[in-house]
Amino acid sequence: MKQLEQQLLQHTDKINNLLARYGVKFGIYKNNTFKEQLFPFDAIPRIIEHTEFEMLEKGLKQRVLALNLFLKDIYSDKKIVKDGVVPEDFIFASSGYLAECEGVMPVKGVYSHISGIDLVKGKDNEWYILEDNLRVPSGASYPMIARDLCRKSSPETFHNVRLIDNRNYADLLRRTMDYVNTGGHTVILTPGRYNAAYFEHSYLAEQTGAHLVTGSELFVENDYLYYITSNGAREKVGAVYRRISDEYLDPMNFYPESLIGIPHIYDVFRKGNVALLNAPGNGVADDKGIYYFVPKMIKYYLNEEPVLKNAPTYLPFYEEDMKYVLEHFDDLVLKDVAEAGGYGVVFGNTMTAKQKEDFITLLKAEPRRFIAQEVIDFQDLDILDENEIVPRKADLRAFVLMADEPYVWASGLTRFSRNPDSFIVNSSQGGGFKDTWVLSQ
Amino acid sequence: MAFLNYESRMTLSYSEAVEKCYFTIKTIPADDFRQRNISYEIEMQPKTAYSESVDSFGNNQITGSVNGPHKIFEYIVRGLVETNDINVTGGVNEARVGMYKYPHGKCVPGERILEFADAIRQEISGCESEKEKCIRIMNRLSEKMTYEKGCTGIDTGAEEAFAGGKGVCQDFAHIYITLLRIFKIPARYVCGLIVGQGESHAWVEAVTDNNYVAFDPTYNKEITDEYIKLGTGRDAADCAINRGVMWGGGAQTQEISVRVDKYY
Repeated sequence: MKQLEQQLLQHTDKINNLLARYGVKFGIYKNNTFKEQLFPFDAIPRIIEHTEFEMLEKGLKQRVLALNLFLKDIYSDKKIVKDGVVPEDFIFASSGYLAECEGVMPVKGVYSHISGIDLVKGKDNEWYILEDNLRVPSGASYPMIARDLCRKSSPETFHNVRLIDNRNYADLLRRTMDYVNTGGHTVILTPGRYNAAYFEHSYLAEQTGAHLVTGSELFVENDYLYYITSNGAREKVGAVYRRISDEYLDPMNFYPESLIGIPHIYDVFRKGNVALLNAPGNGVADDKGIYYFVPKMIKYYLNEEPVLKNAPTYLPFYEEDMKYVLEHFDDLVLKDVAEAGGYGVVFGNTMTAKQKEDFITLLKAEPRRFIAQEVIDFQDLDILDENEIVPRKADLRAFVLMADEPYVWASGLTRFSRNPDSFIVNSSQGGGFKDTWVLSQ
Repeated sequence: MAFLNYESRMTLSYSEAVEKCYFTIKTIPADDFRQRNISYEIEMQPKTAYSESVDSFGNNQITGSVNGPHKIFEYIVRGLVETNDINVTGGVNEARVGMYKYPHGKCVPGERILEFADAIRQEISGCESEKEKCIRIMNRLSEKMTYEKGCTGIDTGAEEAFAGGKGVCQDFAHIYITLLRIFKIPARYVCGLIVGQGESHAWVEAVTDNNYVAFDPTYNKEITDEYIKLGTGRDAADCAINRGVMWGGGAQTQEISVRVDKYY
């Protein structure tokens, strides 16, 4: 393996230049201005052994199946609430719960078609789930294109390695979209080129053969959705892989000021005349508060023991957990359930006495707003930093695609922190990425 | 028991032509324990295709678009509803009632409403039934608020209206809902019509003994057989009679007229 790494390392600059040329960038808003930054690629892949991947695959499939059943239950009978497994506070007071989705069944009952599940590997060699992303998780395109470019610039590296080809993601995605297509075109709906993940939208469209569209190219008439082609013809749309958030999707049903949405698209969905990937309303299942309950969901819906563990989590909502959190404050990381992208995360031991006091006052006033977790000491991965190999924290975003059954992509996005003292790997916080290699038997 | 004949008309006029508009109209009464929709007709100008469906709050809705330039958009709904004066409007859907328990949209308490809730807490906890609590909260609220047009707007939230002490039916309803939810009584907004001429009206349905019971905080009373319910929701936005998106149009004027006649 070391030799393979050496080969890839020699090509690091070349590949990063190619990535820049292909426009593999990440846009972020900072101080109200939009900046595009390159998403730095590190050529040393994360390597996952085949047997280890089989375990991950089993656990991820199980988790995504349970989360889908949970969403179906929440937007209909709410048996899991009635049976006292999940308190109703964590549903109705969650910002991800959309009352507008009550009683609306997505095509074939699939809610989370594309799930991005974030994991870390602890120093104890155990994998832990960090969070579930069931809304519009991004990131699959980066390892796709990186692998492709690595193969081109260093073909000899790939000759004798028992590596599963990850370039099937486009086929998997296409199959996932086709499975729910109600008859008509498949489109990828982007907010436009100023979106953080615009590269990904255009790349996935190109790779899957779907049309890349903005809201202004789609319209609703007589309960169906149409696409206006470049020569002005109108064509029916059967599936929309939408890369805009629920709130902005439809000004007639959600945020009324949205200019990037399509009026009445949700009413077409309500009638079962178009598939939306992912279904609106999924935020109720990937909120940091509901995360605590996912292992319980697996038992409740599937009657199975969870294969993959959560990071040990406490809910100050429960009195005994609050007591634990206050007693072990310095050992814990506290997260605001409403925040994402690495924001709203504080480590107990980094606060000043005054900050701690203020935080505890807030925690007591709004216990549902926070979760507390043990800090997992996760394994470092080697990265190349200024010609030197150094260890850095890294996580893995695994992609699970759901058609008639869940399928785990044999790759994933490995993100790392460039800051040696940081545990936060989000690309919006300046991290980089690696390819993820899953070895075949 | 009464038969209510109603006509509700909305006219939007534009100084310049609108190229295209989309609309959602929620103005067809749904049947419940105390009202029955006997017949209705819809007239639209310009004439356009529309479809009917039911939203997630149980409201009938008409959705459609006008494709092509127009300077006037108008709809008229005429219908006949039978009502009774038993004030139980419906049973509770256990899976959905949770959405009416928490602060949402325009019904989010601030300092002033919380202060007021604290001031009446003792009195309210002394009430013997949930219904009595609802009535007592409504009585106390009506001492605090004066009906006055023009002080609040369509986007005014409960806290702001309460702090100002003045408002219209929408404000009374939002504040009342906010208070009921503080006292752990699930409550929802009702948009509807009452006998007479003028505009639409708003009131509140609260859950007592596993049923919805309706109160009109603007008039500080329970509703009668002179009320037609058009829609319900967590706040006014969920059951807005008319919602639209348009391109073009310039300056816009809106005229609304409602007439409800009662026959025994």
